Amino acid sequence: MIEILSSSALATVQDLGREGGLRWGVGTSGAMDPLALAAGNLLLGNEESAAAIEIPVFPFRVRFAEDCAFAVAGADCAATLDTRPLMPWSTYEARAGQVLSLGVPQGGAWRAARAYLCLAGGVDVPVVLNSRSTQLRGAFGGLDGRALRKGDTLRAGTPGRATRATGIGLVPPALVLPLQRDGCAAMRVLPAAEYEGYTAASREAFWSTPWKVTPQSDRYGYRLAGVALEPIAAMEMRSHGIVPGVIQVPPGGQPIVQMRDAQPSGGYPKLGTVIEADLWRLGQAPIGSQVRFIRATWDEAVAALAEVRAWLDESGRLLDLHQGLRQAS
Amino acid sequence: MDALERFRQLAAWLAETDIALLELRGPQFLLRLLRDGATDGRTDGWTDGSTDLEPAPAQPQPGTTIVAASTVGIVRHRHPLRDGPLAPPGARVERGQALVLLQIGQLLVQVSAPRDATVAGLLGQDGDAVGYGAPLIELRD
Amino acid sequence: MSLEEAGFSVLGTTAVLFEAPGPMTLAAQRRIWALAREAETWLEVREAVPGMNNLMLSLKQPPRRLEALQERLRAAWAAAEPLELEGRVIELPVVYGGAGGPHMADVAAHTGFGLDEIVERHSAPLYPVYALGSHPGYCYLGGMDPRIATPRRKVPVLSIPGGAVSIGGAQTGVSASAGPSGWNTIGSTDMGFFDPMRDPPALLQPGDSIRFRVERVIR
Repeated sequence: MIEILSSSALATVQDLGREGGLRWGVGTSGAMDPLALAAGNLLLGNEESAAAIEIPVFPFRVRFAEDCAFAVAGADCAATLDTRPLMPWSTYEARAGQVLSLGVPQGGAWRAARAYLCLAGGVDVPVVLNSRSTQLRGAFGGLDGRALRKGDTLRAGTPGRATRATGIGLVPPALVLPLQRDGCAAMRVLPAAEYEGYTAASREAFWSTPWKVTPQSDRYGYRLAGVALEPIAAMEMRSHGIVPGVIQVPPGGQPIVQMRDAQPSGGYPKLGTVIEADLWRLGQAPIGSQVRFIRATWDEAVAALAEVRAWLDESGRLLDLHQGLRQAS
Repeated sequence: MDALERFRQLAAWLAETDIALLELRGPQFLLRLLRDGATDGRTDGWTDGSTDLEPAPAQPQPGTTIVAASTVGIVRHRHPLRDGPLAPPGARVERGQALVLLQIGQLLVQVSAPRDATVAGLLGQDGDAVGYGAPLIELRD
Repeated sequence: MSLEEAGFSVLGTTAVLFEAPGPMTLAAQRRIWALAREAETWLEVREAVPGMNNLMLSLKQPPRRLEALQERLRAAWAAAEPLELEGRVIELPVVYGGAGGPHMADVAAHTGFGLDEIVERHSAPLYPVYALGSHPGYCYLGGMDPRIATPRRKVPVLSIPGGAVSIGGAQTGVSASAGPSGWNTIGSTDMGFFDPMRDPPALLQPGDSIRFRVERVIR
């Protein structure tokens, strides 16, 4: 069991998302960086999709009320266990009474916005509509359908002394699968239905200029600032289903990328969609940073998904091999 | 698990990684696995059938500890996300703190301080491929 | 997309969008429901989600050949017969105007109608539920009297409560939970539209209809 020591951290319990609820207007929610969440789980020997805590605001502190193995993945937040500095993307064992502190991410080789605290056996909250992710709008899922508060306690699925080796880490995907343009984090995009409805100059600007992540960016959507995107003629849209990654352009011409807590339907014209394989890169782009979009083909987008899947599989395999050897010692 | 089975597992594991040479040493044995096509640049003076073993690693001075590799891997003196070294000479470290990382493909295995200490010096270079028991870092109490 | 041709487009590798051609009608929506039912039996489809005369297919995994999926959708649409769903009629008691209807005056100003006329025209029709979306339990409704249509607000309201009855353009709807909205709120109801513990969790589904019953009019 852990106790949250920080207030106003906007932290929520998330897993890989809630599927099957679109028919009721329930979006997927889930981790903004699903790769980090899955990797943290693999390090602990959890199911990839086990629930974890997503932390977007720092500093963030928890106290372990009992022995428990944990991992911190995502942004490198100079984590310490009591006074001991920890490695990022690594698994450790906490003893009862120890305090885990996550500081403000410093940057280094990868500037990222969100950290994931994974616990042995996953964060144990009830499954609601097939998922443990927090559905903020509907106020259900996660811990009581809301962000975590100081004093909240959360149980781990399998607390106690670690049964797997700790002190193991992974090289983060940002380094293994890098994607940048002119020093900015980049994401591949597939054009959407209304793409041709924008002026040639706007389309060119969309691909070739940087977009700044404004402070109005959160789990619902990332509001980007840059060149004003102009339609050739006004486009009246009927409400239609959308998914995280869809890039809408409301009047005013500044694009909004729908993220994990976005409405599952929308009425604005769509320029394109950030591909599923790259959405974690945007979810980790900090406020104030700039991003670039890269046009992809369908085949490239599908291949990117396979690449991400392969990275997870390889990580899992190496971790199991290492565990097997350790147990044999 | 008997030695042969362990050897098989090691070989299988080695095949999964980028490591070309794996060297294991213990008080009674020295084992080296070389990937096909790789060379280690060493003269094979010991393969003439003699039973001379490699000398035991240098004994640390009193009041110092040598921390050795707990696994095979490539030595990393800093975490790939960070700029600074994990354990610069003179730094105070806590028990359990990472001193050196050993990289095996995508894995980074932490070599930790056995107790609170001061870093006396790093042994070997960043990028070295090492095996079990290779001396990595010298600590001073 | 020409008026004769259906639209097919991708939403990343996660979903595809099919848009029915022609004007938006209930008859076309019934065919969308039929298409959804058919598409949900396809292996690669996780969910078939109707919108307003359109259908999004959420995919379990991306098909290797997109053209095959597009062709299959086109054929299924051509074959789709309007689905006559035996829906229920749910009556919602509404308090029009007052604190729960802060934008009634804006609707009056735009349409030129008085409060009583707006209430009468809004509460007269039977509104079919075309689709669910936007947020848990929210229904997209058809059938609003075009004479009380009022454009979406220039500045959206940061938060309107669940139960808010609003007009946005030519559509009307009821919020199922608190959240931002650019629509004009003219009244409120305290009906619950979504309970995650219930099976199914949403009160309404496509094929049902809503009737707004005038509970009170606050001047």
